[in-house]
Amino acid sequence: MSDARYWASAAALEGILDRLAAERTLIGPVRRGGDVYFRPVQRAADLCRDYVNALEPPKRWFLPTPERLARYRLPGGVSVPGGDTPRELVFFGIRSCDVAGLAQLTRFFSGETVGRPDVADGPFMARRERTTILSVVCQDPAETCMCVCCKGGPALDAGYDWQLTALTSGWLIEVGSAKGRELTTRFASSLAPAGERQLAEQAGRIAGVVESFHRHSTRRVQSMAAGRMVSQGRLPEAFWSALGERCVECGGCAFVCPTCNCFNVVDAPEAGSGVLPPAGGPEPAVPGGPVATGAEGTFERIRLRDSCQLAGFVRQYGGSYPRATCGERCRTRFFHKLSWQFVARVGTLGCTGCGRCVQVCLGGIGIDAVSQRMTDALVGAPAAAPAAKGA
Amino acid sequence: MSTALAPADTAVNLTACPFCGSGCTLTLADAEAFPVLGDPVTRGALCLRGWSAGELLDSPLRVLSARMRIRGSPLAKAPLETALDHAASRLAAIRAKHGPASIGILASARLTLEELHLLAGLAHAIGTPHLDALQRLGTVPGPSLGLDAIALAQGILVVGTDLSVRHPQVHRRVLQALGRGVPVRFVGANAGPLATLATEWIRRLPGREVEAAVLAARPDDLVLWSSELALHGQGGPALRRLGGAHSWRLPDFVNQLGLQEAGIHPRAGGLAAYEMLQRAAAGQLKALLVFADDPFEFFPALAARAFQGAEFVLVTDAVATRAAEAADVVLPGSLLAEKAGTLLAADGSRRAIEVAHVARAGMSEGEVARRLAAALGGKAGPAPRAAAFAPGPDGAAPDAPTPDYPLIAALDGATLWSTHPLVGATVTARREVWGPRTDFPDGWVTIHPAAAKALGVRHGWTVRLESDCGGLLLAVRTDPHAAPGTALVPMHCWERAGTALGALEVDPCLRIPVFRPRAVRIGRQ
Ligand code: SF4
Ligand code: SF4
Ligand code: SF4
Repeated sequence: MSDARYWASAAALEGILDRLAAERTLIGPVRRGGDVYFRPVQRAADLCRDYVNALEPPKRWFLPTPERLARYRLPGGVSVPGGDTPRELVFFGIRSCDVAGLAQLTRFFSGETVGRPDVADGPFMARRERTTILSVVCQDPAETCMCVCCKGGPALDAGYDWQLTALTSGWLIEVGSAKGRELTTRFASSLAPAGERQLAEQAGRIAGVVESFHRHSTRRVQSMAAGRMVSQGRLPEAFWSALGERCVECGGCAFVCPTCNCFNVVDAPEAGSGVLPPAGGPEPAVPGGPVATGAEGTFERIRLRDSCQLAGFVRQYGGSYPRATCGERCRTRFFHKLSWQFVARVGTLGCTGCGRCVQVCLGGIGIDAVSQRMTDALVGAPAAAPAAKGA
Repeated sequence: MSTALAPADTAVNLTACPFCGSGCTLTLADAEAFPVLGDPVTRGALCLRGWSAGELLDSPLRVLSARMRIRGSPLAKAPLETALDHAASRLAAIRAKHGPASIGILASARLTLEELHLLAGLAHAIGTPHLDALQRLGTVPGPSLGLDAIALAQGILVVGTDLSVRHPQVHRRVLQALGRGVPVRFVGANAGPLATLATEWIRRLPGREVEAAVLAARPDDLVLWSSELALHGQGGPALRRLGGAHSWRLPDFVNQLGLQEAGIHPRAGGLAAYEMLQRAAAGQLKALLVFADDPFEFFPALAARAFQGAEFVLVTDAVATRAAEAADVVLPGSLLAEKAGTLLAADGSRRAIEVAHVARAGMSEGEVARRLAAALGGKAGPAPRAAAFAPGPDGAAPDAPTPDYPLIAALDGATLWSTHPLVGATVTARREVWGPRTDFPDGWVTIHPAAAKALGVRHGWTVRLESDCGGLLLAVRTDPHAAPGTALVPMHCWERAGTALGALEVDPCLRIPVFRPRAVRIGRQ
């Protein structure tokens, strides 16, 4: 937990957010129908107050898809678009699981996970550096939330600039970074040091969420038992092929996961070129294939979100598929979520317990159901039918 | 370098996925599609096509400007108004010379209901009875059920369809029913995911599913089926024997039920879509107006002859297709995400969609139809309601295997999406469904690995697939999902293999082209 803690009245926080919205892009929860989305808002009053989380993960602001990385004319050569500076973004209300996810993505895209700052991803890092995170601790989690299992929440020790907890009256603010300290200095007149009573109230509220999870939630990321099974390669082929039968390869679990970082890069003629696949031909030069030698026109290099679960993701030039079956690709995915080897490399589990993969999976194999199956395999119980728990 | 697309507005607009009949609701956050959690069909999930829908907005294949050719010359960019005027005057001249029935209109299930009515209005203004859609596929008249029917079912019988490909949201509900202990039985040849997960798998060769289902159905079974039956010539038997209060024919494409509602099917004296292509190829139909579809995907040879045989072809589409390439005038259409309007969902209910993205081309298929109808004058006012479609007699029965021809050739329903023009304009969904097309550019036949072993052929080898009518050379793909005893042909080889094997026929019941399951053998090359 960070050492600097403050208290702000509801009105004071609203004033701070309004000031921030006037000078940067303030992004927060808004409601449409029964659902919540994170969108830019003009003022704090536009934010919705009672929400759990959005299905869209915040990574879409850092890894937009499709993202135009470069543009070039052939023949002629490469012309990279001149760097527009990304906008200064302020996120209000994102949840701890997503803060933890963003921290993991940042370790990956900064090159930290591989000890290579020289391979940092420029566009990602530029956007990340221009972002301020004012996260809000969950007090009424959804039925699919499992952050407690993954050290992904309900509150965090780091990763945010400010972490806010709503109290009976006003907000407790924890400061987690230099950027957060700048904000406290700047808005000092709206803040007061947090008192013992407020700190105790916050601790009580967080403990209440954890206790309620243990008591009432039926979903778990069984990171210990499942991690052991995956890490030690103790799950037989049949385990994975059974998972493969349930997966319809929608890619959704990776697209919504706050930690998944798979992407694809393709070169294609610029939008609206109307270039046609060659008649009756195989894979056309576009979209997605290499640009043919001698091609003419304006081309773009595009980055898109991707998923290691998809056959096309593993396809090699020439048509071999190193992880040919969906079951084998499931194994890779869960190895990258739960294995000790992954934790050793990246520092944390590949799951923060946000529960989105439970919500989006057409096959009913969210991480709760899969880790339960792994645990059953460890203790020798018959595999649970994940569909029963499917979203 | 910053290339983040700046989302300027705070609006959340809801549109529909433009692909299958599930009718998922999605939002576009910039160009990134996300499912809607609270929508009763979508419930937070999309299949890969839906997740890829945002990639269409700026696809290199988008048609953003009009193009036209003066016969013989290459297509060249033209101002929209010029191209529209040119199309209208060509159509007026053809009508004056050959009569209104010399013009045929091909509609599409990816248009809104309002647009389909405008197309009916255009047919009325021209005075032609020829209005149909290739994407009608196996739509048969009948009631629609909803996802609630699955939630309430005591037993489920899935007939001849791989729901995970055809109807992912229904597949999901059926898996949930299995998880609740509801008996789910699958009638079919091929090992799709449901075949293996189902309580019981009733194996029947392609073309034999309906008779097996009629025998297997229990009184309170919910019966789920899709167009695969009709595409194998079983539309008549399915319609007559599988229909009923507990039967749900799942639509294949997003607004396929809208086609029915707008009366887009062969009318009295009118040609069906496939027949229009045949007549144009024979020089009897002089003009074709194609809206948001590509007949070249299923029937490249016939479409090429039809486009050649017609004096004038207009293609209006949001994406470039081979049809557009071969047309005389190409007009830009719009994607569903760029339109407001109504769709008929799989349960028959009306669904409003909003403009979720600014229209890239500033024109839509409906607008083109409205403008042409106005220019061609004729009868004013809305088109009279078309009579309901009248199914004809059953088509020929499927073959049974013989000692000389021991395998049954059929279409591989799992490849349906590899022929969809919009899938072809995405990057991610295209990559997935086009993988095999990339690996086997000259087409293939899929057989079970054990069958390959028995024949002494290997994955990738070229073989001769032949029936008593003739044969063709194809690469072999081995895949355990193909039932032993079958030889599966991908959808994009329907015409080529169907013609060579004598399997491509017109079903007299639904007046659609079908691939009648034929007895075949595989010979080593
Ligand atoms: S694996 Fe699932 S629960 Fe874990 S962070 Fe990813 S989407 Fe959330
Ligand atoms: S969400 Fe489920 S069905 Fe979709 S790719 Fe992931 S595991 Fe497969
Ligand atoms: S299930 Fe159908 S409607 Fe839903 S995303 Fe997939 S193709 Fe689109």
